[in-house]
Order: sequence, then C-alpha cells, then structure tokens
Amino acid sequence: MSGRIGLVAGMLGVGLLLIVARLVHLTVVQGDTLAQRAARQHRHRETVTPQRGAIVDRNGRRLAFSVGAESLYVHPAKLPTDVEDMIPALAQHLSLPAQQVDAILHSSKPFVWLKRGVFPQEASQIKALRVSGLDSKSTQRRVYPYRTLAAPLLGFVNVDAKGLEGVEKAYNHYLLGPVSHTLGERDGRQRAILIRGGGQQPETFRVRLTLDTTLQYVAERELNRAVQHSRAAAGSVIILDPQTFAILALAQVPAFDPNMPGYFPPDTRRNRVISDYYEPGSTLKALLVAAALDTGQVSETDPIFCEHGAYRVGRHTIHDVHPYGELSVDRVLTKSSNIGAAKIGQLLGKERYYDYLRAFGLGQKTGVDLPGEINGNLPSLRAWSRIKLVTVSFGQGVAVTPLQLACAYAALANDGMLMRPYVVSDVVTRTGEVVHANGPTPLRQVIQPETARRIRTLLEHVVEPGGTGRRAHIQGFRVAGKTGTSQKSDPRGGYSETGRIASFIGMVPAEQPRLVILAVIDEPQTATYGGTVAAPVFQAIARQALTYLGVAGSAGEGVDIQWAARPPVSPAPPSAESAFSSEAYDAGGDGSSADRSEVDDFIGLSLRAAMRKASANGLRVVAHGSGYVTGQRVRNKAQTGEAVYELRLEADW
Amino acid sequence: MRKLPGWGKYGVLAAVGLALVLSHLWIRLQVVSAGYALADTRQLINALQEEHHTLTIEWEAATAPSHLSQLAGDRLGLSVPRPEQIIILP
Repeated sequence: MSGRIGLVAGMLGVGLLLIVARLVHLTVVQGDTLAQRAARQHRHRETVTPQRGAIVDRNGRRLAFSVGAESLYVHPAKLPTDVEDMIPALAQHLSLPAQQVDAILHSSKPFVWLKRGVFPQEASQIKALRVSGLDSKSTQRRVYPYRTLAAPLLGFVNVDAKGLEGVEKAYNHYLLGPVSHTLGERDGRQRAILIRGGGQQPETFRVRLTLDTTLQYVAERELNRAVQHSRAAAGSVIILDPQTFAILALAQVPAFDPNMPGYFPPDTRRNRVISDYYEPGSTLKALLVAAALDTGQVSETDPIFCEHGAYRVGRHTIHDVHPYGELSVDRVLTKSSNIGAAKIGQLLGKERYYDYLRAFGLGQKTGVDLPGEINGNLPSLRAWSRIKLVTVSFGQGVAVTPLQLACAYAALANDGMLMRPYVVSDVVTRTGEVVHANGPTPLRQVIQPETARRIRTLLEHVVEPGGTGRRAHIQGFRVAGKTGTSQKSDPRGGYSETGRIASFIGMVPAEQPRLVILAVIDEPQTATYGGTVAAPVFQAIARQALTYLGVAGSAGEGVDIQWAARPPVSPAPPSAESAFSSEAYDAGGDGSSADRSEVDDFIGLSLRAAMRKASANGLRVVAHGSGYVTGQRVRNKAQTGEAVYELRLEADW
Repeated sequence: MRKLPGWGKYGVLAAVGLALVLSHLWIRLQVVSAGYALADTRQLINALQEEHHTLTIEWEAATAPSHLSQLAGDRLGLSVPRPEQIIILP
C-alpha cells in the first residue's frame, strides 16, 4: 500500500518538477521574449500630435486654430472582395472623385492614405460602413473660420501641421507644441485600458496679432469693390498705426482660402505686400520734398519753373500731364508735377536724395516679422546718372514694396521717426504668460519733427479741391495724402504701354495721424489714375475705420461746405432748369457712392466705359469734356420726363 | 498560550499568502477598472473637445464681420452711415 502511495507521490513529484521546470524556462529563459510579445499584443503606445496653437487678432478673435481630425488609411490587400460596391458611398462621404477612391483601393502598395485630416463626423460615417482593411489615425486639422480673410498674412499649414507661409511659418516654432505619448492596454475585445498619458494635448502657445478683424474686413471689402469696379488684375491695402508701426490690416486681391490652399494658384498665396515691388510713381514725391525741406534746399513757397509741360534732360524729355509755368513747391506736390519734382531733385542732389531714400527704408527689408520679404530696388548711387536722378525724383526707376512705402509715410506721420513694422503683438501661454513680445521699435529719425509736420500740411493740400487726391477727402477730418500712377515694366524691356499701377497713400487725421492707409490697384482698366481709382478706396476705408475706432473729427472740419453742397443724385434729381455748374455735379469724392446704385455710378470711368455701361443698362447719357468721369448728375427732359445722365469728364491727373 | 500544531503554522502562512495573492488580484482588478474609466473619460473629453471646436467654428462664422454685415443689410436694411449721420460724442 505504502509502495503505491510512494509511486503516486513520486509521479506527482516528477510532474510537479516538470511544471516547475517549464515555469522556470518560460519565466527565466524565455521571459523577456515572451514579455515583449505579450506587450506587443496588448500594450498600446500612441504618439499624440500636439494641438497647434491658435492665432488670434488684437481683440482675441480666433483667426486660425486646430481641431481633432482623423486620417483614413487602407491596407488594400486586406480589403473585402465586395469593396467595389462601397466605392460610391466612400466617394460621397469623403467628397472625393470615385476614380480616385477606386485607384486608392486597388493600389499595389501595402498602405495608402485614403484621406487625411477628415472631420470626426465625416470619419464616423466612413467607419459606420465597417470596411475591413480601412482604419484611421487621430490627427488634427487647421481651421480658418474667416476663410479668405487675412489669408496671405496668416499663411497656411501642410497636412503635418507645419507652417508653410505667413505667420504660420514665421511663428511655427511657437505654434507647434511638444509631442506627447499615451500608454495603455487593449483587452480581448480591443477596449482601451489607459495606463498613462491623456488625450489631445491642449495648445501650448497662442499667437496674438496686431491685426483688427473688423478693419481687415473693411479693407478687403472696399478693395474687392474697387478691383471689380475698375476691372483690375489685383490690388492691395495696408493699414498701419503710425504711432507704433503695428499692422492693423493687410488685404490683397485675389485672395485664397487657407482651408484649402491647394485649390488656388500659387500666385494668389503670395503675400504681395512684402514680396512684390512696383514703381511708386508720384507717391515718392512726398519723400523728395520732405528731404528737400529737411535739408533747407527749398521751402514751401519757393517758385519752381515747370517749363510749360516739357523739360529736356540730355537726350530725354520729361513731360507733365498738364503743362504748368511757375509753381511753388507746395503746388508741385498738389499738382503732382513731374518737371517740378525733377527740378527739386536736382536742387537736392543725388547723394543727399539717395541717403534720404535709404533712411526712409527703401532698398532694404523693413524687418517685418513675416517670411518672404524682399528688398525692393533702390539702385546704388554709382548707377545714378543725371536722368536717373530726374526719374527717381518722380518715382520712376526705383521700386518699393507696398509695406516699404507705407512705413516711409508712417515715418512722416510719426514726426519723422521710422520704426520696424510688426504683425505679431505677442505670444502667450495658456495661463497668459508672455513668452515673446513685439512692440514699437524705433529705427532712426529720418527727418526733423518740424519737417514732418510741414510735409503733412503740404500733403493736406493734395486732398483739397483742386488737388489730385481730392477723392480721398473725408468730411470732418483733415486728410494728408498723395496719389501715384506708374507704368509697369514690360518683360520685353522698357515700360508697358497699357499696364498701370494706381495708388494712393494717406494719413488721417493729418494733425495727429492715427492711421496710414495705402491702396494699390494693379492694372485698372476703366481708369488708370491713382486719384480716380485708389483715392476712393482710401476714403471709403478711412471713413469707416475712423468711425469704428471712434476717432474724433478734426477741429474746424465739422462742416465742409464744398462737399456738403452737393445735390443728391437720387431720389430727387435736379430739375431741367438747374444751372449747369460744377457744383451741381455729384463728384463722388466723399463716399457718396452710397447714394448711387452700381448701375448708375459712372464716376472714374473712361468715356468709352461709361457709354458701354449706359448702353448695357438702358440709360441715356450726355458727356461733356474728355478724359474720365469726375462728376455726374441727372436731368429730366421737360417734354418726356425721361432721365438723362450728364457726365463731366476731365483729362485727369 | 497554546502552541499551534505543526500544520497550523503552514496553514497560517498559506492563509497569509492567499490573502496577499487575493489582495494583489484585487488591486490589479481595480487598476484595470480605473484604466477603463480613464479611457472612457478620455473619450468623453475628446468628444467634448470636438463639440467645443465645432461650436467655436460656428461661433466665429456667426460673428464674422462679413456675416454680420450681410445680416445687417439684408434683414435690418442697415448700411454704412453717411458722414453727416455720424455724431462722435466727446
């Protein structure tokens, strides 16, 4: 009996030993390998892409921020055989062409992205189809809720949330947060058991711009209207605070939607305000006169003989649009005389003029905190021949970026002090701690404060009746500004016969400028002069901006008899007996276009364009003069009562 | 004090060992249970974040100057005031 017991005990003991030996083998010999295999099966480590920081405007409005998204991918080899039937549904839910979906599903690669950055609702619709071999990965998507608003300034990101243009690129290192990981396990039913780490990491930094969304919207709306109205190729607007050089708005047409940058041509994604240059034309005359006044070479009342419209310099002849005899320096600027400017340039001398232009920031980057800025083109002094000095005096043969010119005028508005422009106010953490800040950065005193005040007074005359910029006048405010019209260069050499750039740059209120606004219209078709095409853009933007900012009107400018005397075009047209005087015309100079509809607004059009528009809308038109429409009124025929539009045309500046 | 019989000591040791094993199991189950709860909470947080993002997009779109301008014009017949209509109080 005891022998049997011993036998059984022995067998059990051997069995136990075998089990122990196996346990030792599994845990000691194969332990590490098996542990790793087990971890691979149920441990789950996930890299969490940091949430890219938001970009907000000066009032905290979110212009760009990131949201959670899914990137869908497929393993074509693991797809079910009946996947063909699902192609239409997949294509519909993902807004992709069926052919593209078909090509992805039949790819020979083991792994193919189906669509990246899909919104969760969209992804859940796809997952509901329960297609084996189709899975998703958590990611994020950049959202620009205002779509095209300020797009060239904001820039955009690629599918990996890396900034490619604009503020997104310049401040990418701040906007990208630190990468984190989550560690968890999966049970038999693939349910997650979290061990360590959280979900989507909140943004680390937030970038706050100097931009004001409302001003930006106003700038874009008015620029769009002007570009459409003049059938121009493009346009841009800058609004700058001259006391700090903070950029308040930066608009351009055509624009793009950064939510889908790939759908727009690369040309529209370029920030023209800093990466394109153009010849500033007459807008440069203010810098010339400022330099001449600052050095004491001329004073406002000095007479300049303007050669009755033609001035010979070596083999070249300089012309004025309108011939003038003797003009004071003040009137040279008001009438925008090229010959007068050429003679002031000669009085100043090329060395001093060049030094002043450099001091105003021409030919060098402004240092704005945006990528892609160019230097412009200010020829070196060695290249300044006699004729070069003359042409640069009226803004030809030199090229500036719109931002360079805006900064130069902002220096005039800021009592001669040039500063570095900036678009990002600060970078803050979630708790509000400022980790990076920009502010007013003085660069140099270009001209004396007294000279700056004198040039502002001269520029006010440009905007008064009789000046080239009278359409920039704003009732109740003193405005200082300058028109500019320049020829575009021809790729074949020389200047284009038809391509023009019309511009206006001004500051308001002139006595203590709060805003510097530059409007540039590229290749307008209906009219080409800065005073006709660009000055109304300045006026419309400035008027709304001043109201929005609550800027009080200038003393003594509360009632403007010249402009207030204008009769309304509609609904009470003047009688047939009304005197045919210039005062009876609606000159459209102070934003009164609100009184006219798009259909019967002829201001700024050439005669041919006005006739074409009238014919298209069935309106009777009588034209007086030649050039461009600078005034219009409606008369009713005594016999029939039929409305006749009388247009006053002038050979413009 | 009565001494435990010989097997009694082993019984106590076994009981203690069993208690330790059961405690470990209980703690492990609690960890797993907490892991499930954490995972569920994380899902909830993600869902709420998504909802917040969606509402943020809607809010920004609804308060966009272009949208407000259109509403003001279309529904209320408002427009940009003419200069003489503006009175800026000191």
